[in-house]
Amino acid sequence: MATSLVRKTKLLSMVSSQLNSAACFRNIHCTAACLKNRAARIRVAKGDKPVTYEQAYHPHHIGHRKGWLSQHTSNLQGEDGAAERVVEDVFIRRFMYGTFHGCLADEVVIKRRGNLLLICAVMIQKLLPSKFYFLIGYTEELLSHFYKCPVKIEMQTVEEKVVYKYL
Amino acid sequence: MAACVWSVRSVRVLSEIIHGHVLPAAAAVRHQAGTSRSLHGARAPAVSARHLKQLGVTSLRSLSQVSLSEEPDALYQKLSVRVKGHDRSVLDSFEFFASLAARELGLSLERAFEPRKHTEKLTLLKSVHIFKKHRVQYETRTHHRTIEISRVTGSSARVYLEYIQRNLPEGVAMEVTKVTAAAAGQTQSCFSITHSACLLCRPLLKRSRNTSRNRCGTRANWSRAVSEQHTVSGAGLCPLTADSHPNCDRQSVCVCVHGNC
Repeated sequence: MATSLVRKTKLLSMVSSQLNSAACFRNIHCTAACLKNRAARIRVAKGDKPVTYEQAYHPHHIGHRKGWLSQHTSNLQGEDGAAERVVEDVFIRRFMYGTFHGCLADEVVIKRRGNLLLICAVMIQKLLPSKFYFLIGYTEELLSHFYKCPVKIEMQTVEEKVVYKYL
Repeated sequence: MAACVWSVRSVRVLSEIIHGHVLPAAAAVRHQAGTSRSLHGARAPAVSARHLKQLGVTSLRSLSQVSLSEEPDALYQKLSVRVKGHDRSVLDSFEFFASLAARELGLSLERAFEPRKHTEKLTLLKSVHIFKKHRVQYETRTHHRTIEISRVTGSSARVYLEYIQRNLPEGVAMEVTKVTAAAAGQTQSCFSITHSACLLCRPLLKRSRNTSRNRCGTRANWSRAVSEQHTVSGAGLCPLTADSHPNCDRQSVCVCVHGNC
């Protein structure tokens, strides 16, 4: 990515030098556009893409208009274990995405209360309730054996994905 | 929220148990997590002199599950509970909950204040390779809240802390500092109140701010160190005032916790 940009800027600078010599004095920005933030943002487009509340607000709105998706104490001052919690969270999110494929309406919220790992998810009513119950039991059992701590899933179902706005 | 209502109800039950006359063992408090209804139903009836005479001491013994221990109960000058979290509003609501619990349990809440928040900033390179001029900054804010409770016994502190810790919200960490009240000399006659059949020790007393009244009604000053040895007689004599309590059962030990001990 960076090398292709550098090549493009070299080409641009060559073109600009030629233009300058031909009595054309317009300046072109030659540095790469790295000052734009791209993390967790959906750019404004045509207006036909549905976007949830979580996706609509950018990361600098966390704490002000958004809440936290993963709640634990390891990022507080004087506490440790942050890296382990992050790895666990990534695994849990991928696991939930794969087990309930196509059913997740929004991001999974992970809460840790003492020993207990609480996974909160909002699902679309794509499967039968009995299938949901089976998958919840399967997930809880597997994750509790894997992480050696009690795991509980709190699920809420919704008819279809809740759209906040169209971008 | 239902959990909130339930926890308020259980605080009231706990306060009834503490004031009214029986300090719960830790086992009784653990039951509250699962069976609040049974705790509610099984609480000891309001005890007054007339009731005790009717019921008799032995039936009260069978009602209460606590055991009499002769170990001295720890006395704390100050119990400092410091909570930290990322969200200030969560700490606000927890402070309200903890101070309400302390007030309902009759503990003297000295002060609840907010120490300065701590911000940890990280400045990292935005790009994986080169572009040193373009960086990204991250910030982690830790808010704190401290609740100080003064002049509390070990048993009360244990009950209060267990209740508070069971209801700690996710993402909130707690640090507890206990300052013991220093005792001069080797007197060991402060017994823990687990079961008291002394009628004069029973009734609820008004809590005053600076000095605390012990159960016998004598005023005790918490700042004085131990100077004299109290003996506890089985004949129903109050150790401090040496008044005789005629309705005291000879078998039981009439104990009062004073600041002097």
